[in-house]
Amino acid sequence: MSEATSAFSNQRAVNIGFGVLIVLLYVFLMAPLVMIVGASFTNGLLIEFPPQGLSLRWYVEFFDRQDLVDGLLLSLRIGAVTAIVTMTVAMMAAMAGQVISGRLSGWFQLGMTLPLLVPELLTAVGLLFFLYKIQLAKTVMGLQMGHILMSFPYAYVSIAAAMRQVPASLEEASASMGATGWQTFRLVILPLVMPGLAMGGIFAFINSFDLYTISLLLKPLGGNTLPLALFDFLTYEFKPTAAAAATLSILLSILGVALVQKLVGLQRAF
Amino acid sequence: MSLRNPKLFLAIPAIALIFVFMILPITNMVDMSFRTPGQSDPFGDDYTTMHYDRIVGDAYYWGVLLRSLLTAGAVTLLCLLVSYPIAWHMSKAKGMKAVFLYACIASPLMTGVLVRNFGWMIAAALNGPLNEFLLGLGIIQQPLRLLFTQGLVILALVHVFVPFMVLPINNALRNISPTLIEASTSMGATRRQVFRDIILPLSFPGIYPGMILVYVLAVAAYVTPALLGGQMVSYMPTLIIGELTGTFQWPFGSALAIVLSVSTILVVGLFTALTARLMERSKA
Amino acid sequence: MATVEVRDLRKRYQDFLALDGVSLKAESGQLVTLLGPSGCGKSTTLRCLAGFLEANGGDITVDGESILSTPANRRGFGVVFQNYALFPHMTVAENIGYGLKLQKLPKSEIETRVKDVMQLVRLGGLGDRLPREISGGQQQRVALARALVLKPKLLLLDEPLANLDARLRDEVRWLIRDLQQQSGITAFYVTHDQSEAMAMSDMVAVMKQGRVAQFATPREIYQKPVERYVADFTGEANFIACSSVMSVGEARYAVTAAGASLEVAGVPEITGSAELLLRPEALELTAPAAGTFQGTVTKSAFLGAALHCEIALADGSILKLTAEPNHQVETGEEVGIAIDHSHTWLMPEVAP
Repeated sequence: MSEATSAFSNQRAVNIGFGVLIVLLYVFLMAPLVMIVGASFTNGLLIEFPPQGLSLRWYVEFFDRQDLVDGLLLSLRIGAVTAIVTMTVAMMAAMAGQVISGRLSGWFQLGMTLPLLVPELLTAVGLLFFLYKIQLAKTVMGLQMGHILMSFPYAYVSIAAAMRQVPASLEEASASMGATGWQTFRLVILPLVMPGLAMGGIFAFINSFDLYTISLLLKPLGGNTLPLALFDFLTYEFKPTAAAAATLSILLSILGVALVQKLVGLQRAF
Repeated sequence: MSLRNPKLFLAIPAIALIFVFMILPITNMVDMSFRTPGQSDPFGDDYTTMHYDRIVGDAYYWGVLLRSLLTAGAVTLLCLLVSYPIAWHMSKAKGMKAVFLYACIASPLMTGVLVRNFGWMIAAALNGPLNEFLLGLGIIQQPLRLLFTQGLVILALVHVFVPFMVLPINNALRNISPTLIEASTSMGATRRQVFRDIILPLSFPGIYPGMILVYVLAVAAYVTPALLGGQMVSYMPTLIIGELTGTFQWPFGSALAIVLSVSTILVVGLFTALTARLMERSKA
Repeated sequence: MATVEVRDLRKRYQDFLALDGVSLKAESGQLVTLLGPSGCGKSTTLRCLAGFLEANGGDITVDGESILSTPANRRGFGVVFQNYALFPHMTVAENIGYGLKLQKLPKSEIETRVKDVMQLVRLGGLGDRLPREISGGQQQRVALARALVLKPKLLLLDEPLANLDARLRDEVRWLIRDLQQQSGITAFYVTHDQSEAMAMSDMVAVMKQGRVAQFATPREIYQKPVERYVADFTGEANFIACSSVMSVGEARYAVTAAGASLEVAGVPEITGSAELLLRPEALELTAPAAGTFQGTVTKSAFLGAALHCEIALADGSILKLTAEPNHQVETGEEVGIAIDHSHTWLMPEVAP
């Protein structure tokens, strides 16, 4: 009896210990983000957590800083183009992927996710040389290509997963009722994969918005993306304006997470 | 599959994108690493092995390479230690709790590396939360200078890569049938034995890709050492980017990148060979 | 409506011959069943008919004209899929009206025709539901309505009852047969369930390894199979090896089977070894001396409507038979077995 009780209380101690560990690990994950958001609302002159008083002055300061705002605008622009292009190209690739079978299919999936698996540094260096050769180095166009490449796998993975949920018999049924390939795509496939397609676009946009290394090597003359501008700002000025800029970026990713949850559910997305 | 299926043509833009803008350029880097230094251009027209000779002959580069490989190794192991309990806890969750936990993993994943590293700059300040936490626990008596140390670089890299490790392990854990656990309990295994003999080996198909991905990405991570490592300590990625953007030594930078890639592939190959038996047994 | 003929159809995958010269013919208004185990080529044949697969050889004609070069979306055939293939994002009415909408018919006409066909398959009032909100049987009827509303020349059904439970299966089976006969549409029906094939078809093609083993009426397939494979696949069957086979007339033979001499009907022109087919219901228990065969009861099981027995004959062969349920049988008892001679059939082990 007493032995059973002690085994039971041992078990409880283990459970409590595990619970504490889990809480600490989640704190570890979330704390840096929380500190940035906290620091952005400070009324003081230093980036610090907990903040000194509360104010929105550093947000006002952010929008007065031409270099940071320009960076934000360039990032948004490149992100939007990246999302649209990767969604289109990934949708087409996913449809082709549907008809590839057997061993080849595995290689195709691997190829499509290559930019995600090879370190960004290598891709960036290779691309720098390549763009130099085709005279697109230091142009917005070249940077845009780099972002499309790096974000493509995110779009592809989401869209291909959505395509796999559509049984081939739906296409056949549609054809048997007289639909052309385009009609089947527009009336059957597209509505069914829409959430996955939108999710792919969101992932591609956010990934593009966050890219740093490739932007550093490919950045156009006189143009900075927000992460580049933020890095410079952190190196030379280190004022709470940076926390405000970073908070806007965090807000964007939380918005993205919420949208993905609404569209397809996070559990299926990851 | 019929090769005449017209749908296959839809893959052309994607294949072109990855082939032209990634595979070709990376292959081209090998060529670049054998070029002579340029005069007005970033590279010359002739071929030479001088860059490799220089790297092999200089203990400084050996040291930086070793530091990069070891740091990535430490990051990978710490990542595994942090990620496994989280993945375990996540794999048990259902409903809204699961959604919340996924959001906790996904939010950092979808926030940029730069922003997350910046968070550690705030945390690591001399009178910042991290020092207060350590003082409060009584581990240290005086505030430590944490910023621009290797320790902080490792900590921040672990933070960056935890989601990459949690997600595959979580998937592997979810794929383990609960009846296996019931079966082993019915044969007299304690909870610890169930974990060691059943759950840990069967989650290896998630651990393996997680570790490989984290290692490969950590070896080549640039932002974190550049922002949090300071000027005193060099890592391969900061060295490479320095050669490419600062001094415009493209051939030498390429040679460094190739050396780093080959070393990484060797480490990954060694790890794969050592764990081949475990992988063979545990895959579904 | 339409006469459909399949001639010497061939289909090869990399290293697998799926169809090895399939020939079939459906007269106008007939329902032809393709029956066989999985992998026999029945679904492949149907998918070639629908235009989802390209054949490597042979021809398919409708009213004498080849349709092989016509793509699936211009064949004008109705297809009912095993998993129904209902569009999950469209309501029941939208699913049924999809083909009509593609034909750009006026809205009012689409509405009337959808409503009519929904009455026909007893789906009234479910038009606004999504497929996931209705039962399996109802989904099946939507799939049927969706094919019928286009007034197809040919109806193709791929194991349409496989996902239904037994009770619903019976109900939908009669519905399909009624609708097909009322509308006079020629139909091909794929199944691996012999009772379904028997009950519904005008003609049955029993398929074996990419070929048609026998193409005949359900009655012939059951009572006069050309080989053991067909007899086995169409129901419970006993086979007794015959020791001497002598032709005594057109498709009639004198044989010795398990010690008894019999004169039986059979497949024409048998040479070499042959087997006697005895269906369980053609056998009757008698007193030991009164039977054609004598044997020992080894198993008996009461199944409510009937008594199933297995009887070991002197030469070691086992006969299964169905007896009247109130018959008293003990295991180990010596019994005689009488044969209904109109139900015996002699066939070669494998068709030539």
